Amino acid sequence: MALVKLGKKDIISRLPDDVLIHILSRLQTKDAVRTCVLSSRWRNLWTLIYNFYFDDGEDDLFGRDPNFVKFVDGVLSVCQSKDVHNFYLDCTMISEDEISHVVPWISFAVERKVRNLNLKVDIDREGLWLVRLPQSLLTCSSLVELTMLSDCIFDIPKSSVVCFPSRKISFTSIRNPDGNLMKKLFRNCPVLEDLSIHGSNLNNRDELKFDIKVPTLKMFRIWLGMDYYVSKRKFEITSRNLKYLYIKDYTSSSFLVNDGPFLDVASLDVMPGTIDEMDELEIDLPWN
Amino acid sequence: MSTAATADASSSGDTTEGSVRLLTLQSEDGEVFEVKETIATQSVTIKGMVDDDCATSTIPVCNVTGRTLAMVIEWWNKHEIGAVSNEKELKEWESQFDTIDDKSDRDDVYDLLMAANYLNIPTLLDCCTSAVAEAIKGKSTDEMREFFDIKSDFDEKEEDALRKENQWAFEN
Repeated sequence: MALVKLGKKDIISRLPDDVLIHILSRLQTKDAVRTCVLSSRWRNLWTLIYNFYFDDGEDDLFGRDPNFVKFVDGVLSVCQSKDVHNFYLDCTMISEDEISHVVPWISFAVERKVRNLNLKVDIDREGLWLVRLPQSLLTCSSLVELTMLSDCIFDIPKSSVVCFPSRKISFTSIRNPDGNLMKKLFRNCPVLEDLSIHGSNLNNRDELKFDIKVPTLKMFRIWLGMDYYVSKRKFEITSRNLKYLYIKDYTSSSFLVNDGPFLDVASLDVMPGTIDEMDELEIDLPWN
Repeated sequence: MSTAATADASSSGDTTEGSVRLLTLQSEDGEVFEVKETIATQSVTIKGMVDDDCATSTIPVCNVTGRTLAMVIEWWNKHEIGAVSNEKELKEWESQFDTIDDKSDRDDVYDLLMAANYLNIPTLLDCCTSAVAEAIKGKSTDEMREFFDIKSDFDEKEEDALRKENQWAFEN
């Protein structure tokens, strides 16, 4: 029995590189990097990780890591990974000076064929600056799931054909949604099946129209929390393949579902007493 | 575990039971197991051999002891489609592998990791790598070295230099 012959000492270091890289890829990136001092076997292994979990620690007991931006820059500058599976970025208190670092981080993931991209980027005070997401993200064909809890915006040039190749997108906490952008964004998503929108504190005074024309869409979930401004919001969903529709709306928005989908589940939750105030709910469908 | 695998040292080559083909696997320490092909092909390595028609004689499973191979076969049996009624039951059963409480658990997980890697069993590999990652979480360098019996070959100077080089990971 080879294992007995070798003894049980330091077996972990004898595991093949692939296995150790699997293990390191499951850790918070900071923990993965820290293994570099264990022994020479471990020194450069972390540079091959394929999942990245960056958290500035704002929600932790000890508060935000003041060197967070330096840390992410440092990791990405030495990483040799050719593929990125998951890229999680959670920086809740980023400053104006630091925000320019975020786009290259996202580009790093996109260039390495990221599958799941999860962005939680928040500014440290009421401000107008936004993360202008790189164009390459819009056409990133490896992307399976995109989650954003951010005031990020897409910079979509007028001439470009938007082509979101993701099957699942969830947008959360869109505070400054741009009506034009929302219209464009959901016009040409060839494979999108699952879309969630969670809007809270929608800081937008203007009338806003979400025009979601996605024939492949199966699941649409929307949750709109209280907002500061009583502005008109209108959601128009056109998808004949829709199966699941969940609406939780405390803002009296109006919803229009077109194309007569055969729904398996439709759930509507509005604040008690506001059903009369709800602007409009119109579903054109043959109920199952 | 004895129900999961039938040890039959006299048998070699593939046999059939009803319409199900049986494969013969031999552990490094000579234990022989007969396993349904439909179950054993959860191993990408074995599936490749079956597809290439190379699974007609006894398949040696190097670096994996009989004890570990029996655990692997138990894993396959539980993960066969229809073996458990729901996902929750399966997760509960898997939970015996996903935590490492002491060094004896740790050594079992090592053996399973070697087997999962050699046989290429993605579900088992996922479960065991996750267990080791959980055990690493929250441990200092010294605690990690102690728990995993890792002997550092750096002298103090080299280690300091490394910490400095990756300073941003050790701050805060």
